[in-house]
Amino acid sequence: MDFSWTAQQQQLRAEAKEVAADAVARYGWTADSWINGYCPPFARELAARGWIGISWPKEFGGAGRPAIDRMIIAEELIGAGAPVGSYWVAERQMGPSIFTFGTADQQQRYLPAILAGEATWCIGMSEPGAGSDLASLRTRAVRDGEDFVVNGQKIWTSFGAVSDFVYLICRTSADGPPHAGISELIVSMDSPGIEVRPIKDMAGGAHFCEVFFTDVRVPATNLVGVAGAAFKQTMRQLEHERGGIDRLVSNHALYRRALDRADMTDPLVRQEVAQLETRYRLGRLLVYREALGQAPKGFSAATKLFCTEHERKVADFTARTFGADAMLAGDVSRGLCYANSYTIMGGTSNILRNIVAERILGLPR
Amino acid sequence: MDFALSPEQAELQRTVRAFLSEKSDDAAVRRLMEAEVGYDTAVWHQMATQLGLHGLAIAEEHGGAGFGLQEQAIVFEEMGRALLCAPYFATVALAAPALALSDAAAQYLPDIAAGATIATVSTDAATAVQQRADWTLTGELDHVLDGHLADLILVSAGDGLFAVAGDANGVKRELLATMDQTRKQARLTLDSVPARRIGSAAILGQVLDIAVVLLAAEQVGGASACLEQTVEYAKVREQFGRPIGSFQAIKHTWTEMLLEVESARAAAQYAAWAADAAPEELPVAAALAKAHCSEAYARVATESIQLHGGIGFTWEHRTHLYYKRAKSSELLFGAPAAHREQLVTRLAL
Ligand SMILES: Cc1cc2nc3c(=O)[nH]c(=O)nc-3n(C[C@H](O)[C@H](O)[C@H](O)COP(=O)(O)OP(=O)(O)OC[C@H]3O[C@@H](n4cnc5c(N)ncnc54)[C@H](O)[C@@H]3O)c2cc1C
Repeated sequence: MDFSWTAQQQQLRAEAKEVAADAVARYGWTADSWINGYCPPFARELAARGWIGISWPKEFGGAGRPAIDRMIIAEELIGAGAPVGSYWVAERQMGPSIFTFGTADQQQRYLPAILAGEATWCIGMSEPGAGSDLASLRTRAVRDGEDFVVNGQKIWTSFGAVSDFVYLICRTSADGPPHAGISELIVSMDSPGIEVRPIKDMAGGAHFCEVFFTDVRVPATNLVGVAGAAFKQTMRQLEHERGGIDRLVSNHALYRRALDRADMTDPLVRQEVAQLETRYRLGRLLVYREALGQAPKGFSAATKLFCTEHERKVADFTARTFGADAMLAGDVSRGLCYANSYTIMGGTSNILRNIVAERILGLPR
Repeated sequence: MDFALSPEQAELQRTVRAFLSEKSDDAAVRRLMEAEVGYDTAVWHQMATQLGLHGLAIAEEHGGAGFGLQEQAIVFEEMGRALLCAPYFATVALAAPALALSDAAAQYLPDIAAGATIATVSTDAATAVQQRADWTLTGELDHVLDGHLADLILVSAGDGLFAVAGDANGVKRELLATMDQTRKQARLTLDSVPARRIGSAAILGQVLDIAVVLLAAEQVGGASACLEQTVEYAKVREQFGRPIGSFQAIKHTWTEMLLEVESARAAAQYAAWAADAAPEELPVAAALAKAHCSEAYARVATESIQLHGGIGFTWEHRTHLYYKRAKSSELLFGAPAAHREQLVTRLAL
């Protein structure tokens, strides 16, 4: 066992801190900068540094560095509130899906723009009737010559209105059990027949959308991996989504501001801060363990559960620290609103508890 | 002991609930919360004159109906349930009890009972200067409920409680952008504003105990509406081929939420009863109710968003209005920890 950092990693963290502070100075900060920090110029700057795809394999244009290096960068950038939203989903999730399951042609076609920080992607999984129960999705893609023809509706699609591509999970076969017959397609968001309607969230923002598909033609070559195997592939993807440090530090920038204001002579405040610090430190260890690939299989659900529940506590602490001022519209109250979403998106806390109970503890379904 | 509402109280509850379900439905709440004025004057006057809600707990000699805090609490529970947008809390839960204890009750209370005066109380103090019989106040007052439109503002300064006309010379009012848009707040700057001394500053302490009891009632109303609406949703929303309410995790959560609501209701009702019948118990009961009801409402509203999943995070859905009301009323007049501290002090433990 060795909990130390290499000199290179320490240097990377120091550099990431500087980059984050500089980005915040130039572009401003948001309390959850991977959701609300849409900023293509900053993405291009990071790409120029080689920090997008730093842990992707070299053969796909990455730097081939350990996944933990990516976590270090993310922790510092998101923790400071630097705007990483425009490339986040693509770099974290879509790129790895494409280099793991995609064809050589897809890899050549889509990965470079992600690495350059130039392409924004969104994830089309959830539907109005299919949330926690993803296998009940209805959006279907029917083969017609060289194309698939897609019909259906997605919802809660983060970045739907600003994305170049949607990574679409849809039904390609109605036979067999529900989770069989689902496939993944890469769909260009400018395809005819796609209509996007932003949804206003409770904090007043509109980062997520409804996306409607009417006879949208998608080249059959855009099928990712094996037809009908999407459920397995998607679960692999969700590991990236759930096990990351973004799920721990969304509102860390706000927490720092609360600490500046907190009355650290108050024993109750000291207790609470000690608890938050404890869980933050332990959350990091769980995340790093995921990044090292040393967590039990499927544990990313537990990691996300632990980390996002922590973020809710951070939001509450922040509000109480700001006291009456937290009643006003602003960063603190926005943070208070957003904290509710962390424990919903990417799998609700209840669903994650079920997964952990069944997959890790082996309890019967 | 008797937990049941009297027939008159039950009738009051029914009447107010029916009235608010019509006048403070979702569309009305959303329209008013986005408007600067923030309340419907026609509804306001109906409440005061037809239903007699403003004067409910005001003495008959001052134009009220002379009921106690228990009846008043019933009304606030309904208002919390319906998320009524109106300067009613400021006027009736804060200013009216303060005026009742002041030397100016006869002057101001009849207009309050009639719905002709909107009044509020500042929890921040100002500085008073006296020249012969005339007083002027100077200071910054933050988070004044409905301070942007109040006709009458009560402010403590030194050892006195003062009345200031909202439109007096030297009053600057700034409407604040609030998280909970259904309850407006303002920042007031007073610059040598003429004021009238109407009693001692100690009145405010007593009034805050009453106000937090009524706030607790309002919190109970919000929490129970949240509970009911969420449980209804759990019965109809299906995932994995069955209603989500059939999952044990959800059953257990909402059983706990029911306990939160019912214990909160007990706390609020007890405190309101104490205010009427056992004033010596009010300080403890008020601190307990504020701390407990605040947290109960916040928990229920938070869990309500969780149970609704993605839709619970949207502007269109009602859950966030309850959540924002819950989180901000949790912080109004001091967070739960401060009231627990009071509780222990007041119990002399
Ligand atoms: C801010 C935000 C961003 C999002 N971004 C995206 C995105 O980019 N792409 C995308 O595809 N989706 C996205 N989502 C959708 C998200 O993944 C879903 O909201 C989530 O999976 C829950 O589904 P649902 O909303 O349909 O809730 P439901 O599935 O209806 O769940 C309602 C409630 O029932 C509970 N429940 C359901 N089944 C069970 C069970 N078996 N046991 C116990 N409890 C249960 C849930 O825990 C929840 O509390 C986003 C959501 C949010 C809030």
